Amino acid sequence: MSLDDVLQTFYVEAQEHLESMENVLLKMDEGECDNEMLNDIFRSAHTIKGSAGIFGLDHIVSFTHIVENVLDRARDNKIKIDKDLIDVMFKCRDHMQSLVAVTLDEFNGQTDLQKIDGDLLAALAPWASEESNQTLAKTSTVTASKNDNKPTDEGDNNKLWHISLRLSTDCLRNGMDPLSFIKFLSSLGEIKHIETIIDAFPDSAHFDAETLYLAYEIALQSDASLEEIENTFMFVQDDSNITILPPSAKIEDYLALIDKLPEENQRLGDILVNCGSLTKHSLEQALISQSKESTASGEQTETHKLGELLTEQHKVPEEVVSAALTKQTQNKSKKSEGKQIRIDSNRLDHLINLIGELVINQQRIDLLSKYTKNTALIEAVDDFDNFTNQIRDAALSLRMIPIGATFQRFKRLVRDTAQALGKDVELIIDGADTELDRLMVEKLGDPLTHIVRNAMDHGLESIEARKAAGKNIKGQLKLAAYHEGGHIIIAISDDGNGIDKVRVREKAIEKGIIHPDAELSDNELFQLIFHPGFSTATEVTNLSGRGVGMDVVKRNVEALQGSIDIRSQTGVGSEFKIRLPLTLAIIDGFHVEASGTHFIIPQATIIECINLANHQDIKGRHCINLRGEMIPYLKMSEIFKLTPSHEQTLANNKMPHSIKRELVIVQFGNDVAGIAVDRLNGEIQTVVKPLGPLFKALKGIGGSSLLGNGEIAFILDVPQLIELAIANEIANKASYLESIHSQEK
Amino acid sequence: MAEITITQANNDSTEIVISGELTIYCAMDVFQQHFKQIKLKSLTRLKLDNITEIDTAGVQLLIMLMKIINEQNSHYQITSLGEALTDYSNLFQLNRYFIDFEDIKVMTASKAEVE
Amino acid sequence: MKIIPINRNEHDNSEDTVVDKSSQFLTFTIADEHFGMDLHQTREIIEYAGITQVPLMPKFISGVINLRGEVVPVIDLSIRLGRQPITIHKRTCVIVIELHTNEQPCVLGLLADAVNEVIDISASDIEDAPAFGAKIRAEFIQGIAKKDDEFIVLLDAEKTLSPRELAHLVEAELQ
Repeated sequence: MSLDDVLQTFYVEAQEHLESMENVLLKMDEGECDNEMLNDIFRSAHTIKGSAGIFGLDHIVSFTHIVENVLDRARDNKIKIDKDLIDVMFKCRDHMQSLVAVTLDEFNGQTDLQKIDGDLLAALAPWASEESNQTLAKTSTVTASKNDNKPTDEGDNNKLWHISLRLSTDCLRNGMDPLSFIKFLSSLGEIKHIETIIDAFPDSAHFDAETLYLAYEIALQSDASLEEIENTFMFVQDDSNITILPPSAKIEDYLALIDKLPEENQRLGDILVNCGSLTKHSLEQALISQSKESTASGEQTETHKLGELLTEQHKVPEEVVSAALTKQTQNKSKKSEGKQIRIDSNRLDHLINLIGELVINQQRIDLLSKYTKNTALIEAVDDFDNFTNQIRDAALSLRMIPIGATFQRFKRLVRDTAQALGKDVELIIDGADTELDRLMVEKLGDPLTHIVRNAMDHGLESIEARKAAGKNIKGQLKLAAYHEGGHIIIAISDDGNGIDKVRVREKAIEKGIIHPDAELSDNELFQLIFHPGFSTATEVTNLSGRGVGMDVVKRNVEALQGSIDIRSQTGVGSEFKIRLPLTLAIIDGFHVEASGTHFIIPQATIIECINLANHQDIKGRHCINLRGEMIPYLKMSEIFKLTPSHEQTLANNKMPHSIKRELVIVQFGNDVAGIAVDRLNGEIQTVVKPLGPLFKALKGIGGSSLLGNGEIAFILDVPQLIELAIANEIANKASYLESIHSQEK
Repeated sequence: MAEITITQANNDSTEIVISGELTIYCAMDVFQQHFKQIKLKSLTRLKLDNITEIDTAGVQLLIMLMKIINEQNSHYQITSLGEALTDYSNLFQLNRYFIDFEDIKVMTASKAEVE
Repeated sequence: MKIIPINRNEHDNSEDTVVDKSSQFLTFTIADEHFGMDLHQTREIIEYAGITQVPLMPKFISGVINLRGEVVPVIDLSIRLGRQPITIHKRTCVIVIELHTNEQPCVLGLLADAVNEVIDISASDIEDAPAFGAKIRAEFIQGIAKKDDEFIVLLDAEKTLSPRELAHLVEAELQ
């Protein structure tokens, strides 16, 4: 780990704590408040301050210190949590976020940030304690004060901790200086004694100036909790050996420590006595019992290890001793629920790519094994197939994260937006556990923000309007996520006024998007909202309504191979339904062929396959009657203007019956359509290979994929394909009508 | 960057003046260029008061230097510590290393015995 | 599929860069015309082993190939330069190039009748593109070099094959 990595960890963790602060504040804002929540938010602030202190980010420390002080007072019931305090705390949290984003130097250079700093501290003053107000008055760069952790239960001021540091020898090289730890420890309490041990120094010939040779034994008098002291060392390397003995530690623990450390025992004993952690008397006692024991066993005192003896003598199991000795670096994940490891996402992507290749190879082996007609081999390959799929699913699940965190972020947006607009809005979250590909979650943030803002701004009515309409004055905005037919649905709905169809129509005509005579279905009308440059707000508010956004929303969703549908009912509300594939990396598809070109139709869109030969076209159009339902279909060879290759023609001439006209029935949203192909080749699991920027304009094909034999197949984008077919039909009809028209003339 | 001046005086003494920033960023160079092959006379005078910044790597260098002094049977004299070193020394309670040389002698001696 | 890696000469970055700046070019032939392209932009040369046509594409995009698991578009350079489509024969090869015009590298294949050699051409031997008469858009040409009494058109790959421009052409074709 380099310093940058460590700092990165700090930023990530600070971000998590800021999010958790926000969540707690939101709950408080809704009127909930209990000790647990206060503890949570206090802990978040405290941890941010602590970690910032280690990195010398004094601007964060000094500000957060005051915030923490106020929270601490609230925790002690010295001040009451009210609306005003919550509002200020929201602002403080946001400011902390800005502070975390800048370095100390940047902060010192940014007067606007400093001004906010000052303003907020002033705003906090009524709640802050005397002491912190004094510090505030004195200087703006307060570093963590010694008294910042007032014990909740008073009295005992002689809590003497012993900390033994054998830091990683790479510590300095990686930009960590023990200096920062010692400085921070001294902010937690008073360092009674610190012993710098230089025993590990080599001779001058072997000295490496960037290796840490120093070891430390520290006696710290502090009322801080074990956790707080532990947090000091949150960022040290794993090969560091850190032992924190609590004030309650027994002599056995110390002796075990002595034994564990590399230095000579007698010397360590002296050091601990120097530290005041052990008294001369207790050490002597231990030594006496040691010598007794060794006399009894007839061994030399010098050769007998102190700790070994003690462990035997008092029958203290090794586990108990090590339980008392807390090794901080192994302790880091203790608090995080549900997320145990951080993995570099690039590594994960690499793994998933490799597994994608594995799947392709597996298919090739599958194909080859079938040629051999060797049953045993085919069975073995089948088993292999099974495992490959399991590996694939397991790997993909690594990249899945619940949407909940993303939804949670909207609570704040909704709160602030509602406040700004003078509306009363309640955000309901449903299906927060639904998991999505991490890549999708990242890219969904913007589109969701636009839709939510839009709903707040245009959808939900003002309090008066709701009252007048006889609705509950509290508007409802709902974010939901769930699975539906192999897709993930993200639905954003509100119980507002619905989309004003008349206004949309007027606007579209005014902007020249549609012809005044155009006859549009509701769905078509709603889709106009996504047209670039469309905006229905009569007044342009500062939140939305500038006409940018909704077209971007649609593009973003389409980039994720998704689609977006709108339902709306005047006076009742609207729903935006985003439909997304489960994952972007691998799809389950159906392999078809048309004019010698290979295509893959995403499995999730397919309803059934039928033989076209058994059905008659209706009135010469590409339309069949399937169990009483009119199903339009498109011909792949027509829509993609495919001409069979030379080999293909030859093959067809040889075996004219090898081509069966097959129809794959697909469903997309509410539309059902058929895709006519030459041959069905069966289900296939395939890795999506994007076609690259060159083919961006190509509609109907979403990507490519390699088949088991190395050939390239194109993955169909069904909604685009249907759109393309409709567009072609309209164009054809138009030119047909035109030709008739000109003939008439 | 630290600046090191080593003067071999006629009165059987070596004067080492360290000034500037004695930190991890130059520790390697300082050691390789100045201390590794250093030949000391029977008295080594250390002038440390112009050190403007020091970190743990810098302090390690000084400790190493003292060990070298000890290895070469030289004696040392610190003329002054300077503010940066004093601060560090106070925080780490190292004053006895820089004021009372005995500790280092004892430790190197005891280490030698152990080995 | 046989792969011929392109060996860049060792003295690429050597001391003689000071006086006479010479660059290395990969030369190839399309319909008896000689072309050159900066060696640094080329990655490898592979034998032509069939191509998968992409539906609805303009003619200059021959299709895509599977280059060790990567799907790479192949351009008929001949059409791009305003000439007749290349005739595929036994010895047709694909020059794989890598462009770094935008932030992401773009890998493309180019069809050629034959790849000739890697030659050093010093800057002083490169003449400016003629304003007219080359039958190729002037901005595509980096310069003209003469070797063994033959002219070699040195192409500016980034201009000739600018992914952005190619994408625009595709878009125009589709409308």
